[in-house]
Amino acid sequence: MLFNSFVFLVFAVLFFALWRLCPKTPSVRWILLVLASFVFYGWWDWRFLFLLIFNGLIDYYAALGIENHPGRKKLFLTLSIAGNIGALAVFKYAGFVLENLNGLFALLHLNTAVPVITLPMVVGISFYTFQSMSYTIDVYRGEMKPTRNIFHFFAYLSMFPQLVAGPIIRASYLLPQLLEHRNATPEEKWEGTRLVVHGYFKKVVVADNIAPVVNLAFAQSDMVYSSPYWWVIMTLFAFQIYCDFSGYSDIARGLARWMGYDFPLNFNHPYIASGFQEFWQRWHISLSTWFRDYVYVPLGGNKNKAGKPSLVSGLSNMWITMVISGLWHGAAWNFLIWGALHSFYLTLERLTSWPSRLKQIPFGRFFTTTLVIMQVWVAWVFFRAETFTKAISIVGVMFNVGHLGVAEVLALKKKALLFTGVAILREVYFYADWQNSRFIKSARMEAFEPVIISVMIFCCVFFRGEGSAFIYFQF
Amino acid sequence: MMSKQQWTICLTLVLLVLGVVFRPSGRNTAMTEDTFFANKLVQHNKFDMILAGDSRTTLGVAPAEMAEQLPEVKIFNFGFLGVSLSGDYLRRITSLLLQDTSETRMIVLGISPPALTPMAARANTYLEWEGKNHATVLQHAYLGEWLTYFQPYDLSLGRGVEFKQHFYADGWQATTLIPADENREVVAGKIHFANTQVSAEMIEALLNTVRVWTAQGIRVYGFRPPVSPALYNLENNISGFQEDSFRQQFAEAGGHWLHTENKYPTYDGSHLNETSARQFSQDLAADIQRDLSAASKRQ
Repeated sequence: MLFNSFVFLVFAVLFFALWRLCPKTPSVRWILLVLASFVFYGWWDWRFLFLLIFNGLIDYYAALGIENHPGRKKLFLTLSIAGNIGALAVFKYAGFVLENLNGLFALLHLNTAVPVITLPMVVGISFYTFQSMSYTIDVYRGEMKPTRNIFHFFAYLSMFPQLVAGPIIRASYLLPQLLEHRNATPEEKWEGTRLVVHGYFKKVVVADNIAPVVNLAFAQSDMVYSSPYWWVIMTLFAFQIYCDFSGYSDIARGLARWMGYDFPLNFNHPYIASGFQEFWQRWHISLSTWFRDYVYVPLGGNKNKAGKPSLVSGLSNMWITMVISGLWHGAAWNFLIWGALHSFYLTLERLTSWPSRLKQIPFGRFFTTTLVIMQVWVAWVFFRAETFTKAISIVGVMFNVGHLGVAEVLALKKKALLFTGVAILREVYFYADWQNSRFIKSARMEAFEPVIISVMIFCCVFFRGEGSAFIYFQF
Repeated sequence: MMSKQQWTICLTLVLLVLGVVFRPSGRNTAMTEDTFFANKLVQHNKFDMILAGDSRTTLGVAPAEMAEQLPEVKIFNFGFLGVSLSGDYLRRITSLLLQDTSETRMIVLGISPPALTPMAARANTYLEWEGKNHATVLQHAYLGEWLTYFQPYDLSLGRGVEFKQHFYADGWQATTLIPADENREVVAGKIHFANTQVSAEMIEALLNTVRVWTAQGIRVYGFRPPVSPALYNLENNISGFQEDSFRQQFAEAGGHWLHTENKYPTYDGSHLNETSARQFSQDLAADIQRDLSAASKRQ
């Protein structure tokens, strides 16, 4: 079920009506939450539910096994990780691996071909698998006690607002919240409303109006040889993916607020970062911290085998983490290259500390942010282009000063440019820290909030773009 | 004292009512893409003639234009994007035909090489819509008209690259890309046919279906939807489709082949733009009219 569908509107109205009427007993609320979440998820394809339940059961019982049999806790953890990674490998990476294997056979002139399996794309599999794994790992590490109520566990794992596109929430953060019975306060309800409306605005007004222009640019058979054109297209794509994904997170957080729960912030204005380390502290925070805690740190972090700080170990572990993170987004070489490119940026930043040096000159922060943005845009080319050759051609044109024609830019759909402009202004607002100005914080401005929210809803209805699924569902 | 939530609800309702009443371009009565496809699946009317095929037929043949040449014939375009002429899709076509009252029941198949490939048989919009939750299909089919009050405003801010689509209740999807890119689908075609080829088994199955239909007294027409000459040549060379041989087999199975020319401008090499689709539909209907007249004279 898509958040931006009429069916979801009906679903949400029914769910919150039942949620209000639901007795205070936690188990009743968990059952309602699990049932609603299964309906929400099964709406795509009811067969997907089996995989979700399978993954969940593995981790639920593995965590209990760890608790009940501490001597065999490594075995239970291994089983849990094998089950989760195995499901991911089969449903997400099998086709990619087999295709590349066949490519390798062809390269070696071996007359062998492995049949390539085409399985249906399981919506949100990477999100809930990671969330489920974090539960078992945290229990294994002794950071939390496992729950003994299966509905409690599944209410955490399948909670519909964040099930298919995050944020990836740690069990230690959400399970205790689910134990408490609490109704949202009026302030929390208003906060939820603001988040939901902002999320929808980002998705249906900004991202969906940009999408056709970007899709068309990447589908064109004749390469457009204009550097400004591709910089503008990449700016559009950068805001499309940001608004699409952060919009989903905002809606998820808002829905959780209405239920009386709190989801952590997933995007914190990443395009105003003045450095790559900062960018990754602002972009898809729940995934970045997941990889930090469950991949980078276990690999050794920035320490060598002797436990001493080491630049080489830190960089190599960072490269491994970022490349895996790239592959997490999809089974394709372009995602791997995207991850590797960000590793390269981070390496350069760590070795030269260029952002902190550049920030010291006049307008240094502005220049630093601009340079970071330009590099992020280049990396997005590899993320978005269908083939490596196409990505290289686009990057080549972007940096070719011999192609500075603007006619192609002027031919772009103005509606997409207008709403991208709105999104850019929003980021400038936070970059300049206007939200903390005395004028904005005054009580008079606060009184205008309902007007702003109403206008945003109006825009969501009458200025929405062509409806489409959220980009991150495929991951 | 009203809370912020209450203020927001009131203001939003006022704005929405104003938005519906004072639409800048009047109410957009055109159906949405979702309603368009849902209506094809939840179609209760019956017709004398069903047009079937992939996007080239869905976008390229307008029943309303054909009706000018064939005024007595009730026509419906049952095309789906990327559909293959096989399996359940073909079985569904006959359920849309009038059973007893129609004097001449006709099925017109748009036979394009991509529609005869296993790749099309695995994934297409027909299967996508068939696989959708029934409640979703019903929602799009029955609430679609009501929801047109809340369709987005046409916010054309000057000229630019635009993909215009208009969906009609008779199953035609009028589409135009500005500016046109005639080479676009040639490139896509090369990639497509590197991965899949026209299947002899699918052709055989289609011909068997044509035999069954003709035995039931249904007049079956086939035509190759016009494309750009470049794409036509490419498909002849790399798709594995042998048109001459197919036409002969089609006629032997009882079908009637309608000759088409690749003279109609397309917007991407593969699909006719709105104007050419209208023209092509009239020409196609005229061909059918001639064939029907000739057949009645023979009788």
